[in-house]
Amino acid sequence: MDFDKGNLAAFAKGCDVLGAGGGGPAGQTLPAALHAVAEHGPVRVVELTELPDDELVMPCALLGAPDVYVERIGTGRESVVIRRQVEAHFDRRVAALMCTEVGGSNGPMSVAFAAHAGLPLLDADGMGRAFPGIEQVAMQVAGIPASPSVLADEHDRVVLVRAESGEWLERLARNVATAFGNRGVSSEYVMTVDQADGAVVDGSMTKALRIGTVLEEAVRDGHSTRSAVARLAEEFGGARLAECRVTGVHPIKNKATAALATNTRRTILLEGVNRDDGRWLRLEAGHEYHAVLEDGELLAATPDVITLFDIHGGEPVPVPELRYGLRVVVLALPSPPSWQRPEGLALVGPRAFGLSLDYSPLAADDV
Amino acid sequence: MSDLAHHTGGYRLGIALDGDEVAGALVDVHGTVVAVTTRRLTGKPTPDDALHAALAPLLAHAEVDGGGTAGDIDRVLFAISELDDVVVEPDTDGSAPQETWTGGHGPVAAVRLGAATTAVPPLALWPPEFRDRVVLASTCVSGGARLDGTELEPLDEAGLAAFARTVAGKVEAVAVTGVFATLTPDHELAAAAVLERELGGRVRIVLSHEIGGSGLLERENATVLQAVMTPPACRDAERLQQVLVAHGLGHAEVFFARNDGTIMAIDYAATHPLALYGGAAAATVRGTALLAGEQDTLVALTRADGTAPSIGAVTAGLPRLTSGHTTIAGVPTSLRMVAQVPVRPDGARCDTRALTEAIDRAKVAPTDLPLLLGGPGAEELAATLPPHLAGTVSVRCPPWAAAAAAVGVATAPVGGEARRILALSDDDASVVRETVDEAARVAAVRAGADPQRARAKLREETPLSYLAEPAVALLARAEGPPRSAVPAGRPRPTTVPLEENGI
Repeated sequence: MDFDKGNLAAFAKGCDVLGAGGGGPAGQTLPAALHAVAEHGPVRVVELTELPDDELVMPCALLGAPDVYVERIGTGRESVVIRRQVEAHFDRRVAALMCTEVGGSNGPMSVAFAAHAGLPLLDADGMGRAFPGIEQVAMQVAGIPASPSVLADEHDRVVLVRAESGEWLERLARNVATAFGNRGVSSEYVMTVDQADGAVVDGSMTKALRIGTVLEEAVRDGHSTRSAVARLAEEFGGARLAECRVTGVHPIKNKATAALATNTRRTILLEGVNRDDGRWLRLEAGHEYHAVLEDGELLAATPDVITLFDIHGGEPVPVPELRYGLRVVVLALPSPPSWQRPEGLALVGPRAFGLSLDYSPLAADDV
Repeated sequence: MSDLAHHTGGYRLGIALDGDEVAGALVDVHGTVVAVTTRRLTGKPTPDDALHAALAPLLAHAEVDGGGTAGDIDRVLFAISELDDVVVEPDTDGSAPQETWTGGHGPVAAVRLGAATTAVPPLALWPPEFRDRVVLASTCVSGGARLDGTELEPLDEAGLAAFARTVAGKVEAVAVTGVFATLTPDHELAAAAVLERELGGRVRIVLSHEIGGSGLLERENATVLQAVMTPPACRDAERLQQVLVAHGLGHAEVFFARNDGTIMAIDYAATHPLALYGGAAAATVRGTALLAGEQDTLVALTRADGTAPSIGAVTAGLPRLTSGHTTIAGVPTSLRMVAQVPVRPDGARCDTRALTEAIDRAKVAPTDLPLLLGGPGAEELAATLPPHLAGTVSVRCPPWAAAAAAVGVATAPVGGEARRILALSDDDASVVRETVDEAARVAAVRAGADPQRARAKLREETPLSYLAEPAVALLARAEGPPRSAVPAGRPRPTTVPLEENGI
């Protein structure tokens, strides 16, 4: 499978669904992906089995603040200098670029990074969705070292940070990002193809594309948002939780010094409408949607992907755009199995985001 | 007091045009609406026709109150729906949107200040046939700023001059967009000086920091669209000034309704025509609230063509705005508009269920609000509605609702805004806040506010996420009454009475 101008828009839609309300809008980086494939040709999407075992998989992601990278859009060629630095450090060839975070802006951006670096893109990612933390990736659970972190800005300035712990790596990398002016591109958890087997979330690129294609087909065939969402639930073993109106968005005061994962919390009240009339749901959100409860019972929780769709526009609604009066359909999709192990849940389960809840697996809609 | 008004003029004349529907409003020196008129014309009336149709009945009415001649009017303010078409109607069916382009646009050139921004080149998101028709050339040169105000890259003045020479004599306008120019416009201003030196004073230089909005690509698109529209807008403005002279209003300052519900003087509108887009709708929302005397309300906006209404919200007298992301002629731009929730009926009729849902979605909070009907179809809509709708305290069609746009534009202030980023560790935080307030006030004065009465009005502070050092984005808004060439208290200018002018 290739990414080209014919399927990138659908892929970006799927990235927004997997963003679970976070990750930044994929539409913001879609133009960069389209420009890159126009310039360099289609990007080949590959499986691990197609790659030499001892060559490298290089994860790549935007780094910094979204308010900065909508202005400093960069070159997309930051991946070229990162690749050079990674190959020099490991003294091995990079066989494929990998998207660190399929959810949101980093999905399409990874296609641009791969195209400019002349690399195929692995059909995988580090999260299967969006998360705020550098260490909230499947490779962390699998014991792949995060270090070194290779960071570059759009002027080919490049820094390699080595540290003995994630804490030090993050501390130093953040300072590099600040020096860059809160905008850069970084690579962590570089691994061999052999190591990557079982350590990454498989199939993320094709999954996002499939999700976007289902949504595009629904629009083309004149189906409503609610039936498009029901089709997604059916195809991916998820659940269409309810159709609601937003009746209130309540920010929760938190210390400014709180960890990134928990520093923007809010509770949202949803009142069921139409066939869900009379139901009341509570939605907990931070940078992404974290949990949905009804009558004190958990319906879905992170790391499962909770996404809200605007009933009228059919688009996924990012957390910052939730406001009173919106009509939404709530969808939950199951997370990859590696996240559901205890060490995965410790990293990305409800408690990692400040919620006093225990994860329980999603009850899929009866098909 | 009305005697004083009579002797010193000070009247504002609001003129609205939506399809064949003309409305006029006369507002006295105290801001009180003293006369209103509505007329239906035929055959695609122009602003000239609208002025002609509304002026005489308003003056006749004012005469009864002791007012009188065109010479008493010192400000004329227009809210014209068709200006949206001049700006280019959004492309609805995917085909070329250019039917309303009557020619005379462009060609223009686009310059981006920021060499390391090649991930998406200038104009990449434009419909290609539109781009090819109006944009002659584009380039990226070194320049731009960083979030903290320091240089992203040094400004490449030699590169700019070289580019200017390749387009000299071939373009009517040049659009300049710098990275983070809304925070630090230095490079855009320096680039304008270089371009003027190379191209001469007749080529219009349009700068992105005057348009505003966060997001390089959308702001750049808005800037280039504005460059495309500026030369014809300047020609239209000249023509309109002559029309006013013919009506005995040559002494009056002329203003236009703006996208955000404020107004701008004709010289500013001619050089910033993108802001005309959505201006008439914004004036209608504001005027409807004013006619009903409500500060916090919902407004159902009706149109002359009888299409389904949309619902907007007014909070503390100000219409709620979108966050930007307005697509014009198939081009994504940063323009903010008055937020309107369309009523989406299942069938063709505007049923109660669709209306109550739109009412709920238009609100910012669950509190019940009045629903006011405004615009040319307000009374027809009122006749079809039940007296009470869920989520409202009342459903009302205020008197003269059909003339709401004329009232809105005649009573609106001139607005201005400015942006800065404030690092919370900054010791001079209060200085930064004062600076941004003053920049907004200056922007309002440039748009036509009375310099003595323009004031900073409100400041929004939004925390920026994912920054290592906490910072907030400051957005200051200022407003003031529209300036007048004839300050109240001075004798009014001698003018030819209307009859002698053959009108």
